[in-house]
Amino acid sequence: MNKIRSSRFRLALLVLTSLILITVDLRSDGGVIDTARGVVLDALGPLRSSSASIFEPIGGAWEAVTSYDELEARNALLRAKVAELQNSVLEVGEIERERKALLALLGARDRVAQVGRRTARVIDAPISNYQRTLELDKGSRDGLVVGMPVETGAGVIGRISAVSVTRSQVELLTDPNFDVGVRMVRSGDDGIASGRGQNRELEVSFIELDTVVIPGETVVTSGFQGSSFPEGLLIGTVVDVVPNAVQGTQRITIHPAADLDRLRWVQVLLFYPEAPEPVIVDRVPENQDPDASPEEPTS
Amino acid sequence: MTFAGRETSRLIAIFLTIFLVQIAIVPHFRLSGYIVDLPLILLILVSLHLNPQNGALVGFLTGLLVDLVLHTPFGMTALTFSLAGYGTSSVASQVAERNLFVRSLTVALLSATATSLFACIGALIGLEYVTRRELGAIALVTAIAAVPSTILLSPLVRWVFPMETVQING
Repeated sequence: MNKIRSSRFRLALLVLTSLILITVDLRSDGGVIDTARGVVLDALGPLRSSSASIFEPIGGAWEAVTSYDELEARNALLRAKVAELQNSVLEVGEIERERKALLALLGARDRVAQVGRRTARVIDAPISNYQRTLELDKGSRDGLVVGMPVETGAGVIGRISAVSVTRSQVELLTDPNFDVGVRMVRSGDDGIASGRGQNRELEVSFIELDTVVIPGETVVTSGFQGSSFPEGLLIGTVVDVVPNAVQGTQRITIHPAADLDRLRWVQVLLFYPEAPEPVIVDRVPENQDPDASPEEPTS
Repeated sequence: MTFAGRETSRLIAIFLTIFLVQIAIVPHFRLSGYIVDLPLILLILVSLHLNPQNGALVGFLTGLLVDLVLHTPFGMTALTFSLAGYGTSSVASQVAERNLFVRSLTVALLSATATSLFACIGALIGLEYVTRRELGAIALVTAIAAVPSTILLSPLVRWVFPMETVQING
């Protein structure tokens, strides 16, 4: 009986210790835990990179065998999407003009174009089913810091969540921890977009009931003062709007503009929220290798 | 049972090996898009040979190691693995003498339960990582993968515990 009590007491101690660690990690910004994770990230980086180069092709073949139906469906979907994009390519210029006009109307500076970018390679995918992160081959020695936005040509994919000397981790925007201030382009209303888990759309809260929001409407970052995202980065498009008369707000669902599956190359925006002006970098020749040219400004 | 030095060093060796396999190789070989959790399966297999307090301790330390490479809150895996180790060791006497097939099924059931527990703990602290449907798929994949993993990992576990030394409640 005493041994049962003793083992339960030890279990209770371990549970308590775990809960304390969870609380410390959730409440602290940086600190010992992040440092330890950074050291492990650096130490295991070469192993993960080399294993990725060896096992990725084999894993691809494995995926082809185990997920053939899914790949076929994805292929058909992509073909349909290409046809759709070919039809809508002319509309893109118009939308971009409209976006810039709206930003100008709001008196906003289009900081996005001025912010320097660092091209990084995705060197590893998540190692757990409950993790929404990617690992990049650039770290603090390349100027990356925690909080910097990460995007592809299609839109935002997340933010830097951990940085070691040579590596960094990206928290994807579908992560339940992910929040970003957003603006509905059509109405100019601001809200907060939050991740809701893998393969799920984002949810925007704090949009007032009387704001007209239509499916297909573009959603960009609002760039509030102190936000780690500059203004005007494309987040996604509205797919559903559900009014909540009790709270006086609307629950808006948005589909991310960027495809978060099979990412290979991404761009980290060298955006420092505290800096009075964005980091402006020189233009890099177009024929330069993106991996060799760490900073790649947009026009 | 108490941890003899040889058993402890062998335990550390196989957990570190499986940990490295998990981070370097396993993510490239997904089942229906989901990742098999080898450290969890190994922990459950090992805990079948331990008393509850050692099962919880081994689970806690393994969880801390895994937490170092995950982005989920530090301590969540340690908490889940502690409970999994304790729970598995508590039912160890029921399956220790059974054949490999029964043990594989037990490990499958316990692995699926433990991986669901992780998601539940996340939901309790406001981090809803997956939908219920995804959680069901993850649990199913973990359970399916646990059967061959048990067969493959059993020789390693027998290497750690060469003699059957199960003692109920220590």
